Amino acid sequence: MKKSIWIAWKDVKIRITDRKGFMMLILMPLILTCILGAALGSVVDGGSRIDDIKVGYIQSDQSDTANMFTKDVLKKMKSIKVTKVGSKDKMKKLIDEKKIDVGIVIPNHWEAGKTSAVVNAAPDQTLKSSIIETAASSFIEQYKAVKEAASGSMDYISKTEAVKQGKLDPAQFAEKLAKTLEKETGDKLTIAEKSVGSKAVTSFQYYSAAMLCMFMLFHITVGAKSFLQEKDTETLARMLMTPAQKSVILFGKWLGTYLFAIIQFFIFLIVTINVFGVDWGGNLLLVSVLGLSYAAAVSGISMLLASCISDMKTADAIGGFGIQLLAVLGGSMLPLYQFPDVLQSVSKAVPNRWALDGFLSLMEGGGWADLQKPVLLFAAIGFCSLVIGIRRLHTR
Amino acid sequence: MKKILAICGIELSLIFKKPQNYLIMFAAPLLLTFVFGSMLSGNDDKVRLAIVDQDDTILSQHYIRQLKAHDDMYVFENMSESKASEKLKQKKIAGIIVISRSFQTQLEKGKHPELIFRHGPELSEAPMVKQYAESALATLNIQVTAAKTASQTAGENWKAAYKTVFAKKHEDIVPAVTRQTLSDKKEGAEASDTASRAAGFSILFVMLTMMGAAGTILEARKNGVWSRLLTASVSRAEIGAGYVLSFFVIGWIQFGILLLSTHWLFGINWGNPAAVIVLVSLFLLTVVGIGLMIAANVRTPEQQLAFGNLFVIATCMVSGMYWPIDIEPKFMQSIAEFLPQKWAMSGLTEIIANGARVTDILGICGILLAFAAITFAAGLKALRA
Repeated sequence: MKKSIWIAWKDVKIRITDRKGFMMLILMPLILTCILGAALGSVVDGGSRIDDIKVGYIQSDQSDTANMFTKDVLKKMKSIKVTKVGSKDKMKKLIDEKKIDVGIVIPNHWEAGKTSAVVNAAPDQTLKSSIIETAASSFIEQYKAVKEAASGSMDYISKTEAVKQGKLDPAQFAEKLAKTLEKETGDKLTIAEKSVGSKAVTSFQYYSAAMLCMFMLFHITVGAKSFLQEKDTETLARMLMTPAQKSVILFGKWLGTYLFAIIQFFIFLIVTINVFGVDWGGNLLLVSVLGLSYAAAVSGISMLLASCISDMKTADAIGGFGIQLLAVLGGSMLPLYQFPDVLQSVSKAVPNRWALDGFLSLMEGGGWADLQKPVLLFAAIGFCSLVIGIRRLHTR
Repeated sequence: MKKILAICGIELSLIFKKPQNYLIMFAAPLLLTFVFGSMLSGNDDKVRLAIVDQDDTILSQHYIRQLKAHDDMYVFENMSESKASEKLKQKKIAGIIVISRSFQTQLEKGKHPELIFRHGPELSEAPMVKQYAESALATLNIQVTAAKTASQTAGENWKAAYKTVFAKKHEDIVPAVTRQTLSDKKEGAEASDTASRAAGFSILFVMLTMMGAAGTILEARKNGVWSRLLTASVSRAEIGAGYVLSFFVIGWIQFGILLLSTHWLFGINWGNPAAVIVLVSLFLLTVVGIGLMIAANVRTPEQQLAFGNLFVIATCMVSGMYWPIDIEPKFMQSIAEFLPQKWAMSGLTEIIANGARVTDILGICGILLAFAAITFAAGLKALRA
């Protein structure tokens, strides 16, 4: 055991004293975290808020409804800037020049429901254009609902006994109805938003966890490469001549990778908490437990990898390509709910998916009960891959 | 020219000699194709949502029918609360709308019914879903109010009136709003969100593998191949051009496999072939240039890879390959304008979504060409030494 610790310590020391390599390992997560913070910083406070939407409109329909939409609805919407545009060509030019994000054309007879309004946007502005699209269609929807409901209830009332007997004046009723409906449309019914767990998680938090899970995966290749280097430079052969047992040496190599992964984990955690104010959930102890077990699994896999490949180039290729693939499958890039069922099942086999789920449930206010499964799983992965890796390397 | 081709040929044949390189050259893009393909052949990026109906009355059922009426963006499915929570946790659905037990009674009384929309932090469409559900609720409320006013006047039960009012509701012949991506061409196939993200991933992966490829120069120098080549009757420029050509071909093999296999296996339409070829070629040139730029500033192939990875991942983050760029602040979005990925990406979306031809993307091509020129100028040192 002591010998293993010595080897691990030697590995850590080598990596720390190798100034360029150390800078890389520390700098990489730091730089990427800073970019992460800057890119998603605006969404730190509450939900996914996007920047102001600049809307340009062309209005051919001069009905009250169309006027109401452009004057009242669009102009009163939060974080929207509205400008009137002369012609379609001009609108296209404005969109091309990025002076406006979204353009909406309201044609003649829009009110009557005979024509469709057209929302124009550059192909990369899908989010903004669908916000405007939803706003316009829910406005017209509501307008039509009022019209139809009014005529429907007029139909109904005219068939009732009271009207037939002349006790009730339909005109009077119509007036009353119009007033009630007007009041009702002004009264906005809202839907409460709620997060999955007991605490709300922002997209900044989500992607922080996602990126952490991805960064830690890099230790798979870093660890495997350090072992291969030991073999290339024949230092492994020299170590094997010492009285230290083979398995002790291999365990030491694992421990070295593990320690380094932990160092990176804590740096990331401290920076995100102190610099960007990311809330990792109340219990940092549980976050650490999950992180430590994830690191164990990752370094175990790195030993397994070292036993399967023989040259550095393959390790590099796996580092670049394989890790990004794992990151995609584990939900670090694309939200998991967009995955079809097949990929959902595939993603269950990916360790970073489990880690991400674990971190998220902690952020959502979960406790140890949510962590049992991933932590035990990581411990098992770490242990098994370490044992298999050592056995395979043993026989070489 | 012959010498350039010879050097390029040797480099390529060296790559094809090693079996593990096949993994990177062919297996990797094919694997990606599988991932993208199954993502695209899924449920064409509709947002999947669950409805939990605790009330189960006429009004709540009508509300659900109202929600399901427009199924071009959302897919709603009724399920029990526990099942919905489980599915949301497993991320199989994007969100849940819970209709509380007092839904009908509250509406009857003219009070606000309680509706809850639960969703995860990664749902960027959340504001739209909320607005959609709210507008459907408003419609229902108007119908109920009208029915109530009528029945009160007539002195009857509101339910009878409601049936007449509800029957009046008809579906429109033309949709109130349609969306059009900006182009004066005939309507191309609307690029789905996932298709353009598939383009984004292709860019990311090809960049990553290309960073390593440029390290070959450093290796050639380390093991003396470079200096031996110089003793032959080839000029430095020819050697350099040969290597650059080989990187370029490697990049094209990968991107080409990705494009063709997604097209044949999953029927993804990448748009005008000539435009794609021009755009991808220019982008690959830029990527080779970036590879050279890094190679000029590091010493070993390992450092090349490490810095290459850092550069690619960092810039891809900014240019929105990991998350929708819309959620970034303006400032970061303007930084993205200075990154080649952003332009390659908007070029590809332009081609996929708008059916743009070469002449339509000349501006973007010019920008990419400028990027290539700058990066090559900065990376020339790597070839000169």
